[in-house]
Amino acid sequence: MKSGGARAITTAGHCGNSQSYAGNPLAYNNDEVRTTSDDEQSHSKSGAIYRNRIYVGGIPGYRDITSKKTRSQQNIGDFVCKYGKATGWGCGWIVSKTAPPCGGVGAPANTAIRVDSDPNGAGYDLSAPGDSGGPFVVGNTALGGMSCQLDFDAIYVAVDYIESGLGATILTSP
Amino acid sequence: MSVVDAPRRALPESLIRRRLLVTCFLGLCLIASCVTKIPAESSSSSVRVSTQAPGPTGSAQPCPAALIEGQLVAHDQWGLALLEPDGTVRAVLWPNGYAARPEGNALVLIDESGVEIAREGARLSIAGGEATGDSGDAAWRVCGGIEPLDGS
Repeated sequence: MKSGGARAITTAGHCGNSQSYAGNPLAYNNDEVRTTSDDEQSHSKSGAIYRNRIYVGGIPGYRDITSKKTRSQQNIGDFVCKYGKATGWGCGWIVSKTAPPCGGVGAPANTAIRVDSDPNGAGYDLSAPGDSGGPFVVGNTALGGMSCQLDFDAIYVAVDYIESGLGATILTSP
Repeated sequence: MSVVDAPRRALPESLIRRRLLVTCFLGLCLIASCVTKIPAESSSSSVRVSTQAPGPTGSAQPCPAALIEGQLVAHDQWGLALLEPDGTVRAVLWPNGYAARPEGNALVLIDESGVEIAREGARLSIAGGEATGDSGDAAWRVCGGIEPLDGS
C-alpha cells in the first residue's frame, strides 16, 4: 500500500504492533484502526522497496495485484481465495457480507465478508490463529484482509475499508 | 425451688443403637463438610488474573485470527502477563474462569476446572487479538488455543 508517498505492508489491526517480515523487524506506522467496521494497521522498514505484491506460498510464492474490488463490488456466491500464514492457500464462497469484523472495540457494524469453503457441507479450515492480515484475492484482484475465524469459515475486511481506514491506497502497479 | 438430680434410667438397647448410628452419621457429615471445604480453601489462595466477561452461550463467536508469542510472567496488577520478545509486558485477558495459584516460587495458570494450563516462565503461543483491556492498555484477548512453544 501507499500512504502519502510512503509504501508499507498491511496487516490486521488486532495483531501485535511488533512485527517482522522475512526475519527483519518492521517499524509500526502508528496507524492502527480498530473500529466497529475496520481492522487494519501497517508496518514498514526504512530503505525497503515494496511493490504491488502479496505472498501466496508455493512457487513462485507471490502474486502481483493489478486491480481491486470494493465491498459493494463483491457479492454473495462469489468464489474467492486467500493466503494465511497458518492455513496457507485456500478458497471458498462468500456466504455473508454482514459479518462482524474482529477489530475488538465496540459493537461490530457487521460490514465484513464471510467465506465458507463448502457452504453445503463441513468443508475445510480457511482460517486459524496466525492468519490475520493475510490477503483475499481472486486472480490478481485484491479483495481484502483476514480478520477473524468462525468455525471453519474466514471473515475479512474489504479492501476499500482498509484503504479508508489507513488513508492509503492499495497498489495495483509497481 | 431446688434442683434435684433425677436418677438416670437405663436406655433400651435399640435406642442406644439408634443414637450410635445418628452420632456416626453426624460424624460422617462433619468429615464430608471438611472435605468439601478443601476447594474453597484452595480458591482463597488463588491469585486473580485479568479475565474476560462470560461470553454468550450457544452459537460460536468469531475469533480474531492472530497469534502472539511470549513468556508467561507474574504481574502485580494483572496476575499473569506476557513478556514479548521486544521486552513489552502485555496484559492478557484470559478466558472467563481462569485464575492462578502459587506453587513453590511460581504461579500456575489454571482453567475454570483447576486444570493447569501453563506455568510461570513458560514460553507460549496464544491465539486471539488485541482488545481494550480493563486497564485501558492494549491487552491481548485470548480467543482459541494457548500452546507451549518448543522447549518450554
